[in-house]
Amino acid sequence: MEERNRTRLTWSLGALIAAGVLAGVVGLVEVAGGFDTAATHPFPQPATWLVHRTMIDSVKWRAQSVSPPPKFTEPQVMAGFRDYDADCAMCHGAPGVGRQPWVAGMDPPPPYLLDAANRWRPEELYFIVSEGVKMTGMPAWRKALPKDEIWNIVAFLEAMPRTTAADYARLRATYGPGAPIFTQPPKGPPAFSPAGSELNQGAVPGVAAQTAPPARSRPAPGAP
Amino acid sequence: MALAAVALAGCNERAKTEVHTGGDPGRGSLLVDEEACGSCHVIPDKAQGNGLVGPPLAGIARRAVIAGLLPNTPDNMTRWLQSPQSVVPGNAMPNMGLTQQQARDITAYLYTLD
Repeated sequence: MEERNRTRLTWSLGALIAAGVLAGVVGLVEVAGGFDTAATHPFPQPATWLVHRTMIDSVKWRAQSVSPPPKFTEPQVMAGFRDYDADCAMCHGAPGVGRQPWVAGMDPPPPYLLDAANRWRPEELYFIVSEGVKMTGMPAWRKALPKDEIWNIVAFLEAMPRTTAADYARLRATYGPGAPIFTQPPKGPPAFSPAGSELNQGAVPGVAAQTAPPARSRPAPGAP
Repeated sequence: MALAAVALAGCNERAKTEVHTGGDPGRGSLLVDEEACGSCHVIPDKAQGNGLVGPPLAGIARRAVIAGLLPNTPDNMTRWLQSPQSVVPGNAMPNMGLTQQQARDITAYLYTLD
């Protein structure tokens, strides 16, 4: 009996010491700045794979609580396009459309989503857009958008594999920020017209600033 | 063209690739990660290279034609990577705003994928 107690005591002490040592090491690495948080130093490939796999499995498990959507309608897809083009394309691109230049500095890099609908069920896409993804830069859009707008985005993601670059350009011309409805020539002379910008000729002040090409070495997304 | 074919035929080593393309395959590999090429292409040895939008990139060093249009030379590959929308307007691959050197680095990396 006494022998047994002694063995148990030894094991408990051992476990306690091991836990202490582990906590000490983790603490030292943290305090000493041993973990490199720089986005310019990505994880090695196996760690990248593990982290990405963790995200996929987490989403697949948790999205089970999302109720499947009814069949998407055409107006939903169009509304989803507007939200996608305004809020998502800057990081995720679109058919024939690149991402903003600064996105190349993100780690993990936001993926293009042209075949996202073939990889994820609509409920899973909803979960990702709504809840965001920790430590990736993907926000939880439910903080900014109502549920039906998130479903609209999913409706557009579902349509994206069938959307050509020409389709997307057409959608932009019809519904995007550069759509005719927003670029009617103003009555008076434009209040703000930066020199050298053809795009701003006759554009509404305020909207003009949005359509002006960025003054960077990289071309604007989608520019030929 | 003939030079390219000869060089490509036996070229698997990084040093040769560098001379041949004027790019650095190591830097090219990092750029391929940053630009998220793997979200549209299957790329050997890339953790996130499983995209099924464009063609797989395995064996691209030995492929004859780029984008169904351009003979596969380093200059043409660089041109395609820099400006896919002016080579084939309206195709799904976007202009990524790469500098010429960045496009050369990616070309060098692609030519190591045998």
